[in-house]
Amino acid sequence: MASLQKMVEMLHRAKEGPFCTEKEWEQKVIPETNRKYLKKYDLERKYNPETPVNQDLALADRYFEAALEMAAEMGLLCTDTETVIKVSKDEIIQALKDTPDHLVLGLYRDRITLKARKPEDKALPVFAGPLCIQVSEELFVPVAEGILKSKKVRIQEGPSIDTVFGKPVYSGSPYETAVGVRVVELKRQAMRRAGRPGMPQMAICSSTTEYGNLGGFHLLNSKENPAISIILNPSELKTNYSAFHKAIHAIGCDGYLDCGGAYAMIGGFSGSPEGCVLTNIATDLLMFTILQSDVAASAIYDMRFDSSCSRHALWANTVATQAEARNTHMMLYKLINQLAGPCTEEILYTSAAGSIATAVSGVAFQIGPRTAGGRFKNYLTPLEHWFMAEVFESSAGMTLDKANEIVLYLLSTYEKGLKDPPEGKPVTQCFDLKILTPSKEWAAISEKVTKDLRAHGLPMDEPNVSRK
Amino acid sequence: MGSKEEILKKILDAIIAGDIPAIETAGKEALDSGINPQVILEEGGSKGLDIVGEKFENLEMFLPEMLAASEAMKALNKMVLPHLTAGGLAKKKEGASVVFGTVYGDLHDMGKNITATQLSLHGYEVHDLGTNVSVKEFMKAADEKNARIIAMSSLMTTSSYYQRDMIEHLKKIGKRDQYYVIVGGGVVTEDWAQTIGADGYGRVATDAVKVCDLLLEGSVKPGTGTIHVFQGSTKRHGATKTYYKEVE
Repeated sequence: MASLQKMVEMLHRAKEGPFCTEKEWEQKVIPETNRKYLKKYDLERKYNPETPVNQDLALADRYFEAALEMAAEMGLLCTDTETVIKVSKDEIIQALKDTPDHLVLGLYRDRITLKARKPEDKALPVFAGPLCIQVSEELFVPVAEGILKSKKVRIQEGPSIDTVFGKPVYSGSPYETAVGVRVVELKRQAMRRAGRPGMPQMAICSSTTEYGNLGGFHLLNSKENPAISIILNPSELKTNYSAFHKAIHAIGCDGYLDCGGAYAMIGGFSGSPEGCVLTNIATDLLMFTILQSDVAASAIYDMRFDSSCSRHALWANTVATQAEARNTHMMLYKLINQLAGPCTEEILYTSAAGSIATAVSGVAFQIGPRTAGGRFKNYLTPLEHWFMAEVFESSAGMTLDKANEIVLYLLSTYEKGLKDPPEGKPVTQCFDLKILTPSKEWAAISEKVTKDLRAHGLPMDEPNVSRK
Repeated sequence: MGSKEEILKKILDAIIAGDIPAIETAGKEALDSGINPQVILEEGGSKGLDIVGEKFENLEMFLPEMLAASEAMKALNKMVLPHLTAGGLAKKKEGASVVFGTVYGDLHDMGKNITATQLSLHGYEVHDLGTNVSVKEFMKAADEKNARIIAMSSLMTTSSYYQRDMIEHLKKIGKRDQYYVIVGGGVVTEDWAQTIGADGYGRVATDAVKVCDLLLEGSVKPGTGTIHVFQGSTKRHGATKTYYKEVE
């Protein structure tokens, strides 16, 4: 568990730290420091399009060494105070020693041990879902219940609602506090209906600011079943008061901390895929040291597609994961941002590529999928969650070489269409929520892709069955 | 003094390099040698920006370099726009002030930053209000900056409600016909933009430029029910080819 005293110390460093505007941090400090360390450690131009799953583990180790030094030089910018929270290299190393390598979560038959993993680890990674995708209030319980019908979905996170008792939830207002309470009620209903009242929990979705967590996290968290608090940060190498609010509240509840969401963007301030690897690792290290995160949760996206499934992004995420998994016992996940919607082949192929690439590289768990990029309300169904959970677990013990071979094939199925992803169908048009069964069309798509993956060497079970 | 082509090439190179002193020298040289201001902007500045865009797509240039190019383009606009006398760009010059922010309760800024950069690159005077901006703050800034466009970004559904509040507020205070309101961001769709009565909607950053150009160069007044929608695709929620439609 994180320490309140340490958190207050970091808050104090935010108050007293050196001043830096957000603009200077993004446009000068990040790019210049990043370039300096890429050069110093000979890490420029290492991206290899033939290995979207990185095969060079010594290279990954070098990225880690550089990121550790870079993190100690930079620190995190607190955007509310426009000051830099500085920590020393020794403090980072100590934080990495102190961080847990496993968490026991959940109750009864749903009790699990979330464990740190290494590249090519045979231990099963844990699949969590759904993400905080918006659904109508009346669909929350059946959709969530349907997702939990797969026993391979082992932690519950979302979905989200944007109304509370039919009234719009305005961000930064008491509506968010109210929705924090409301989603806990709905999650409990879904868990009971799915026969899984002891599900491990991540929360709170449905609220942009800290109000949702303040409203609901303590209701979901208990001494017997500590929940993981979702603490999103603005972007790479930045944090804010909202993250501190959530972290402090979780400490007060004896919950766990998931401090992430600080994505590095290929094409953005960190520049190249190589630059993003560096800032992504540095960000995770600082989230553990400054916000005392229990799990590492920032990933790399490709700004050109707003996705982590492009060839460049897959490579960058696998290098960063391997670097962190080999050199620490942090429990990692690297979110996959799929762009296609339900009832399309693309959502399944991109989910498979991201799941396989991250699982073999050493993530402890994965949450997802981000169906239709999270852009449209009600565009998520249980089936893509069942599918992704199966693929993810089936990737345990696979070699990096085999994973690369499969991912290269998967890229050939969707890569050209990344700029124009099909939006698919809302849940009401491709999934029967009364009997929790996909439509014939959606089931056939899943069967086809499953067969294809098996033919390419992934030993996955059939996800596409009626669950009620 | 070099030939017309040589001078325009200097401008183009300075834009790509984000070199403000070089753009000031080349811009002055272009004006002094009597090159049509519209040609300076289009064949020097805009062409340079196209190359910046291509380089970004190929991961040869990144956001910091794009921002530097945007600053260079701003410097060029500042020198050349006052010399325009007629035509679309001149019309744009008269009303090219945009107040831009991420709405209240929403701290996401990446999409807003990229879109603001695109607008700056294309000659707009962008007043970036940052994130977590209330309706009241948008209103105050729009009045103070004499803006014509209020651009509101929102990543979350729960914050997009403030886009509707902005439009309702403008109606209440009798200023709906004074400001164009354009909306965009993660969860914001064409449907939402139409529902709340926005004047424009774009799916991606470059769409915003096209939307603003249409609003300022066209004859449609704010809040009349016509919406310019660019989302780069022939599909409803897609993202590649450019097209627009007007809904009366």
